[in-house]
Amino acid sequence: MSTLTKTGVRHQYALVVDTNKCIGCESCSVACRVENQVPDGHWRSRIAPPTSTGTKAPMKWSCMHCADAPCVQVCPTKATYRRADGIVVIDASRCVGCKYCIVACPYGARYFDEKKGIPDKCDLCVDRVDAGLEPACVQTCVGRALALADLADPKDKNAARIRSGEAKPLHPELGTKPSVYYVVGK
Amino acid sequence: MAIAPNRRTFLQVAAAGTAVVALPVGVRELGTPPAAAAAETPVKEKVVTSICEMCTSFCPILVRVRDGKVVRIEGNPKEKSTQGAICARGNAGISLLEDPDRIRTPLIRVGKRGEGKFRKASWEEAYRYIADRLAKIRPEELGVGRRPSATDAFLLTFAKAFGTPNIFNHESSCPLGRNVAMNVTFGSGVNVDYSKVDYLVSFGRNHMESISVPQAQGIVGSQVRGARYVYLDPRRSPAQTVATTWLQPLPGTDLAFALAMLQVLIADDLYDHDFVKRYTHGFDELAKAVLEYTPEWAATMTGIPAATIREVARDFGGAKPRAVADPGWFSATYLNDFQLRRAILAINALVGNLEVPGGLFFKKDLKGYGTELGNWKKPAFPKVTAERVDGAGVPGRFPLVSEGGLCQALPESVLTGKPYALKAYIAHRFDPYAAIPDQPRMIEAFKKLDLLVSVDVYMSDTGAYADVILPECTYLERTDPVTEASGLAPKIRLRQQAVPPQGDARPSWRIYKELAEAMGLGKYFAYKDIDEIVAAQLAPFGLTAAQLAKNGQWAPPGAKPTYLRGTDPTMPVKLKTASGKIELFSAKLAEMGFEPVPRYTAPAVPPKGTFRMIQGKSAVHTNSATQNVPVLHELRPDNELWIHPAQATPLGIKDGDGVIVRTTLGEQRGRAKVTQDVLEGTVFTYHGWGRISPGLTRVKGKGIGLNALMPVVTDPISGSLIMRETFVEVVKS
Repeated sequence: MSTLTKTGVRHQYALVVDTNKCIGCESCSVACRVENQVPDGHWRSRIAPPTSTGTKAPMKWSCMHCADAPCVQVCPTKATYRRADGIVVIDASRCVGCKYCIVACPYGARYFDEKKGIPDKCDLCVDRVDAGLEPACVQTCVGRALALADLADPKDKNAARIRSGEAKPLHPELGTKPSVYYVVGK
Repeated sequence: MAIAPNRRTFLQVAAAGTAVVALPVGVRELGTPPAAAAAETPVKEKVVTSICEMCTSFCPILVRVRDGKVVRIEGNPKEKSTQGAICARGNAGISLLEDPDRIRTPLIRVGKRGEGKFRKASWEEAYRYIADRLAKIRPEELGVGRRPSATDAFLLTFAKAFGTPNIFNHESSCPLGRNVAMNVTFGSGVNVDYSKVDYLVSFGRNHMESISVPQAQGIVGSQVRGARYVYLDPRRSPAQTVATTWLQPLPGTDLAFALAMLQVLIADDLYDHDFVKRYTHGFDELAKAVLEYTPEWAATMTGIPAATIREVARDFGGAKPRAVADPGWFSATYLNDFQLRRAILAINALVGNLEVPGGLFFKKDLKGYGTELGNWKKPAFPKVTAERVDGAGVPGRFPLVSEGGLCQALPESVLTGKPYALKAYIAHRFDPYAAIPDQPRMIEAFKKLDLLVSVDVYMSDTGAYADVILPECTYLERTDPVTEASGLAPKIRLRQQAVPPQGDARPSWRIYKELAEAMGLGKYFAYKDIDEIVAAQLAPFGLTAAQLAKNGQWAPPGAKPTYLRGTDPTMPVKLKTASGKIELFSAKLAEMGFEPVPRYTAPAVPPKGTFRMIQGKSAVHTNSATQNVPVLHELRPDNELWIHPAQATPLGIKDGDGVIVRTTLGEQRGRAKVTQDVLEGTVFTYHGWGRISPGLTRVKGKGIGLNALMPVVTDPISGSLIMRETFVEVVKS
């Protein structure tokens, strides 16, 4: 599944969300909004607040970059596709704006960008990642709860948290094989 | 072809201050060659090191500028205590910068006060308008108020050149009680070494919503390595998800908990005998006073089981000296708050955590290293003979309060003429209407003033009543004087202009210089521009602005984090108290007629049919300053009234219902949030809403304004406002 980039390095990206370190401050939400020039009224990433049950931590919520992504499957023009490095992106030039993907996404991660005329979503700040930077949400995180993992790198500490099962996907029963992994409970 | 920099080169470039870096913009691996080729044209990006001003934590930032526009603000990764992080507000700086609601030209009132009708004016006309009116009053009849900031020097120089002693800041509505308690007890402010603490007890200091990034990050980091964190709050907040233990005391009873901790630390012999002997004054009086405050007694006050209180106190004592009772921040709370702060500080003294890793520390400033920032040269200020209207620093009134004073004195002075009436007021990025209780009375005072000036980025609520509004540019559009950001080691930082001011907005250094010149006071502002001031400030270090801008911050060579008792716990530490020691017993307080050692006073019980109203900060807003910033407004456009189902149900209030919150002063309408996250008998809201300015188009009229409901109550010792002793009626609307 991994890809060979221009610089000759293989990558298989995933996002690790350590809810023990999340303080629910929405710094990631705003960093994402500004970095990606998301239009008014829309967010690519938000924090789902903890409930009063006392068991849930605040939860960062955005595109899960699924390996078996329903949005990719339903896209009639192949505008939405998964890069070899695991990032699910949209080719705006191919998108016809049918919005099937918005309906298909079980995580509710997409919104329709009226200006661009496409159903947009988190792309893991693909430009930043390709430039060797962290996604904006990871870079700005106050509690240092977010980390970009590279599963193709055997030495990557964040990838190790996924391999060990410490970080788990949200709603795996949906069968979409998400690439966002959560560490829950101390 | 652009070569994408890797992370390391990006950081190096970022560190170059205002260097230009080529970032590939819009590069996507699309498989459609024409689009990809078009997108690979590099766009030049400038990275400017600066300081955030979305709150007063002033985090170091990198401002990314493309084609003359700010495109992103990031934390400066050079700062170890933030690691490149900034909060939601810091990320939203660009939203403030571009907000169409900003004031971009001077305005002069044309309608009646409060109608919000203004006409555009030139700066010269605005200065003349102000100067003409100030010429008609005595110097002490001018009051100036501001939130402490890097631009303080200009407003303060203007006020002192004019000759008024009536200089205010917002602190009596926030941390003044804590500050005075720290001065009385430790002789000056003390800080917490959060990242190294092993056991933290926080009496409602909510680090996860009243965010200081280094503090929040320090606590989260300490949790990861297994530190204990006990958090007391009648309301559930995000701090509970980080804390190891959440305790829900009855509102206003934290003092009982703190006193019981003192009692256990002494009774169980868990205190540091050598430290107490060497560094404290009045242990015997304290020990005698807390004898009766057993955990069993405190349980009856707080509603927290005695066993829990005892366990916390014992574990805390066991973790010494890396155990800290947080001195807190917002302390304009209950009538017993001052003694709560004193008791908290005494807890710290008993475990001997002063100036050791994971304890309390004094800031190691430049002065301590035998150096200071330079300044621009100005003549001596005229001698002030008049007393301050608020009695700050005045024997018999508020002798313990320093220059920031009591901001709530404004309406009292104007309306009663006691000791004399302020006739003019300049509010600099400070909104007395929004910040101070009893808003109806504040409006009466505004109407009676000869001159009200608001210097701000928005037409604030106070601005809506002003005669003149002067548009200050935002922190992204101006360079400010160098500021000291010392912690365990000395450090200085520079706020740099990233983009030109929008419209006709101007920076403070220019506004007050030009206003002073219009009044014949130009000699106090004998500088050409901000660059000249910065150069004068840096001269003692042989440093240039460009050198400071390179990393955005600078420390004297050889400066490193210092704990005075880090290697030798018997090292003498000279405190600035009268006794030279930590004053567990304060002769000064005794002399003033107050309890010299902390003792308990119980909070009043809400009369039947009423609720105690408490408030707190939202993580995405700063007091009343950011509710109208578009992106932050979208995140939290209003507040809700949190009410427990046990009370909501009999009132017929369901979650989301409209409610009216009422006191004898007035009423406010809002929405109910029916939740078990707040203690029965108490209602909670986030503060900063209830705004009235027509210039705040998004937030005007939204949410519940607490200051419309509360009277002004002032703590007789510290001068702090008391803002959690108000009881409200709640009905369904």
